[in-house]
Amino acid sequence: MTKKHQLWGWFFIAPYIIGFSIFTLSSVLFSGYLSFTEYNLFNPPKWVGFRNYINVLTDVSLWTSFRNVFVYGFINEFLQLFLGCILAVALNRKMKGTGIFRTLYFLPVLTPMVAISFVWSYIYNPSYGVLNYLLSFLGIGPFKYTFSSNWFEFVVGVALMNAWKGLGYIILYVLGGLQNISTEVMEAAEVDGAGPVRKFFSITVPLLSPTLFFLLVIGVINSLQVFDQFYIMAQSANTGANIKVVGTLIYENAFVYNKLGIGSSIAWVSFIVMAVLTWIQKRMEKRYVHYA
Amino acid sequence: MLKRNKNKILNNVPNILVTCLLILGTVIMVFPFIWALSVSLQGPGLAYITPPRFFKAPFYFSNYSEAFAKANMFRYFLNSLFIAVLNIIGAVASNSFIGFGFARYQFKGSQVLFFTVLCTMMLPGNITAIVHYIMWQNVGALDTYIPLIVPSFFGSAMMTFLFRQHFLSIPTDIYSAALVDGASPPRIFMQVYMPMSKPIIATVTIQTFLNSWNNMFQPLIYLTTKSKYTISVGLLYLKGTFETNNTEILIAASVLAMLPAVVLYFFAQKQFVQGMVSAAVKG
Repeated sequence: MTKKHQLWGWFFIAPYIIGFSIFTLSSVLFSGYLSFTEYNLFNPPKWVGFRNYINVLTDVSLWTSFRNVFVYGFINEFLQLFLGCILAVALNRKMKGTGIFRTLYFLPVLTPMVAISFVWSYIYNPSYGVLNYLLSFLGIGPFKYTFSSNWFEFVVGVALMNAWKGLGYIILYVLGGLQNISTEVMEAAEVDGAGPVRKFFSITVPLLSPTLFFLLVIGVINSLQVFDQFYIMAQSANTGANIKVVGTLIYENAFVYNKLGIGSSIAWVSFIVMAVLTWIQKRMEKRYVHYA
Repeated sequence: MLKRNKNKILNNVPNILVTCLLILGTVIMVFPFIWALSVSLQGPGLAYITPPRFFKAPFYFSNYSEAFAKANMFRYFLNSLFIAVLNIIGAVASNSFIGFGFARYQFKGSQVLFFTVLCTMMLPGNITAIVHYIMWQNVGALDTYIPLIVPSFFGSAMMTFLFRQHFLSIPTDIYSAALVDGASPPRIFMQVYMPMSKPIIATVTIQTFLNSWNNMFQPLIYLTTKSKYTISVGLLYLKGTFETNNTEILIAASVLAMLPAVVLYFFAQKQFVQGMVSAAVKG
């Protein structure tokens, strides 16, 4: 009976075992091997030792792309978590119509990045875009955003668009976290005379910290892997070289220049950076995250 | 009495402020969509005028038919839809099957394997993308839909996990009883467990649709023939043709690309939200 039971178990898990061995396990191993070779799809891979890694790490373009990723990630995470918390706390009140707001905030999350990027490029356009026109009434600007030859303006432009696109997702998550905070704690604080601001910082934020921590870890991982938005927006930018991100470097090396070994080694460098950052965040978790 | 009134006032004032904040947020969140709609109805050349025109007649609904006729959007739509439907079939079939295996048959080997499922969730796609490309090149599948479709038939970590958790919540007695009645495990899976899993199936369907429809990277590296392009790569290609002189058609095409997800969302909001939460770890 138990033997038969186990056999049925293997039967149901079989597709996963096949998929895992082909698409994950052997792919990861082969990718590790490739990162130590020179390979262009046509000749067999040639072992070159650490040469790829040395070339990649001494190439300034890797460091500019890490810089861009970190600036992008920082602005994006800051805006999303900050605005996401405020809006989620606002939406958490028992009020009429919060459902409609929630629905509308969530819309950008679902739409394709290419279409969103085209719309934002049109809004950003320095010669006929509506954003500069609107900002001119406030006496701000004009800016060139993603059309700029300045890397910082470009990265900020992409980060703003992405913060907008992903905000609904963050709100959704924070709302979930808020729903777990018991009303009793809040009422007790009120009885003790805590105002809304005090309540937010002394109760809501600490009790939300596990949710915020989770979102931060995921956010850092996603930021390091960013590709689509930078690839799309870079097509209308003025400069090419200093607005790349790590994802763009991997894409170009592997699929445009056919340097698959170099591409793999960049992918592993970015994976190691990602692992180290996640580890650091895990260490900080003990100090800053409050588990009720 | 007096005290209660005072409280009411104090409670209402922040409500107005909060509503203002939420409305301001909504304006910012919705503005790009409204603006895209407005631009997509402009006449030729009028999209480049400053000050920008906002929903000014005459409206050129023909921009949308042009997007279909000149810009080949219909073709891209069909291609994306074809891939999405096969991905949905693959994802629902494989993940429920595997999830059932992990939920109902727990022994040492399966538990070790389940741990690898959790590990796979953390693995960034960058690492494997290049090797997958080489693999598909070796079997001659470049410039076909095979690399975009076949992997979905072998399960994905997050969705397998979702099905497993759901199947675990179904009492084991049901399984044992059906077994005693002489039903084979595949039959129990198909006729007892699957009918009890409609909400999860809906969530996985919608999530897979979104992932597939919005996917840009894979179609970008695998497809080279223009008539095979999906909606995302198709739009990228159109940008070169239309942005400088007919941006209103490009925006109309973008609006069309957004439409399916938005329409679906209004019909199945709950499943969408559930799917998004469960897909937190995309990597």
